[in-house]
Amino acid sequence: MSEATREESNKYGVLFWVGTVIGWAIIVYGARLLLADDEAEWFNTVRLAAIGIIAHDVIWLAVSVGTGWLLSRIIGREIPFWIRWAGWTTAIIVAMWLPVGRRYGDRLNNDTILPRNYTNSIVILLAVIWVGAAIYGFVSSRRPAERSEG
Amino acid sequence: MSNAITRIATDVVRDVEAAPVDERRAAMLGIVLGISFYTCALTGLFSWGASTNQGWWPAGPTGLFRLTQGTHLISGVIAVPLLLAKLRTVAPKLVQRPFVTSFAHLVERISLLPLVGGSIFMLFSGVTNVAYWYPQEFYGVDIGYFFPAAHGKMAIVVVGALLAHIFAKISTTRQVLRKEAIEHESAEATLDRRRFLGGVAATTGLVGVSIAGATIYPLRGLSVLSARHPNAGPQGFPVNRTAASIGVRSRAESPDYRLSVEMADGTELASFSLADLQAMDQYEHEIPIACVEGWSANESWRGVRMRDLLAAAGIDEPREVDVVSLQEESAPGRRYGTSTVSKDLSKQDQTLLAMEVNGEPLHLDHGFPIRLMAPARPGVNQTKWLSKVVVK
Repeated sequence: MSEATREESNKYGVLFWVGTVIGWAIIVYGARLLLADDEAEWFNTVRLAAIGIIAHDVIWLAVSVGTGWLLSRIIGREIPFWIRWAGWTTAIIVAMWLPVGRRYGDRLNNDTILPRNYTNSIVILLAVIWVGAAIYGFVSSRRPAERSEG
Repeated sequence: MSNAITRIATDVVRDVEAAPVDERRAAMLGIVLGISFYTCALTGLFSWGASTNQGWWPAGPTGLFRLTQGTHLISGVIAVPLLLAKLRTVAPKLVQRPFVTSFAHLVERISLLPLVGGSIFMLFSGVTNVAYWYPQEFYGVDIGYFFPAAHGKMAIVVVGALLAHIFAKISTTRQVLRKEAIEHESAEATLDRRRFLGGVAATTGLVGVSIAGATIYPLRGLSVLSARHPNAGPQGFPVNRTAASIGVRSRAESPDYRLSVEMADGTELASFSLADLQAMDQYEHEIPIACVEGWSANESWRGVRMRDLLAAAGIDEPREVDVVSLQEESAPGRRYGTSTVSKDLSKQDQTLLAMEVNGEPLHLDHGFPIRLMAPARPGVNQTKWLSKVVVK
């Protein structure tokens, strides 16, 4: 048995197939419930799941990896970790801010929903992220063990 | 221009493809993400049980639903950065060549579709629900769904897909997390992974704190992305549906208001004016109002016990009842106008027909003149503006 074949058979042993059978049985059960429930609007639900995959793999991943790649080419070296972290966290926070920040859930006659000033919120959060990251970058650049990494 | 973009894209894909997947990082993230997903799934099951009056959902302790739904909210929200970090870590596998190496590998890859797509849908629908946003249309395309139905059913799909994925990754996870494997790693790789995981932990903490204040009271001032503030609203706590939006104001404020107790066949057993109810023994209990959207607030409610009301109507044995809102007359067919109180719950001391909160008569938006308040129930089942109690 070659090394690759042995590795493959270790990876896809009995446990793999047991998990696949049980897992798919549950998937099929859930899918049948989804199909049977008119209110779940299965087509829209599945379509949103598919859009989610495309939005992640084709947009989010491509933009985040592509931006990092491009910036590192422009500055001629790897982007420091703290900037990459701050950029990534900013993107997540902004994505999670959008529904409240754009006030999509506003209701007439109910000012207890979305009671905050979400413009202030995002400014505060982004300040915390970038100031925190810059402090980390400054402190770690002065540490001898990490200095060589640039 | 298009040539330059194509060249850049090709270079990026080549670089990603060439970058080895840090299997240890993927395994560690996978374990944390798995715990967060299954915590979310389990508490989601509790949420469904409580909302739909499943027999196994207990009638106490008082704050049980607050605890489980708060945990559901937090475990779901923190899963967002964890999932994105996990997907980023394994991104090189997306473009690996050959794309499929065996039949088993093909099955594993196919199983990722419901896992990734379902997970993204679950987190998207959960986060938008917490923000009270139910998107119905996207650039003219109908994307509407009823949240509890779609979220609940897709959760089952994700639970199955995650189980298949865990079994597929058990041996790799064991292998890469073995002590010997870590000992042979370069210091630079260890540092790189620690920094990455530390960064993910920081982001996860930030995201959690920015929303969790809706349910964890001490964090309310820090939760700047929360769609609710537990103190914002009439009488110091929020409202989900206002009297104006349901159209019950005139009926609720009518001097002729009465609460009737009926049998299921419509036979009226008794009818009480507000003064009649106020003349009965009053009891006060601290009962959290906890909503499926994740916010909760602990308030002190005062009113008549359900069992005393039933006794006054001639029902001495504990019985399952339906509590019916004035909403059934003003907005018939609209959801949540009626809820069921189990036999166990109807005999509890803390199951109240509340007329006061925090020492004041109920505000109209909190259910004036009378609302149900019972332990371990979601806010959606603490029916407001009661008109009838139907004995089953």
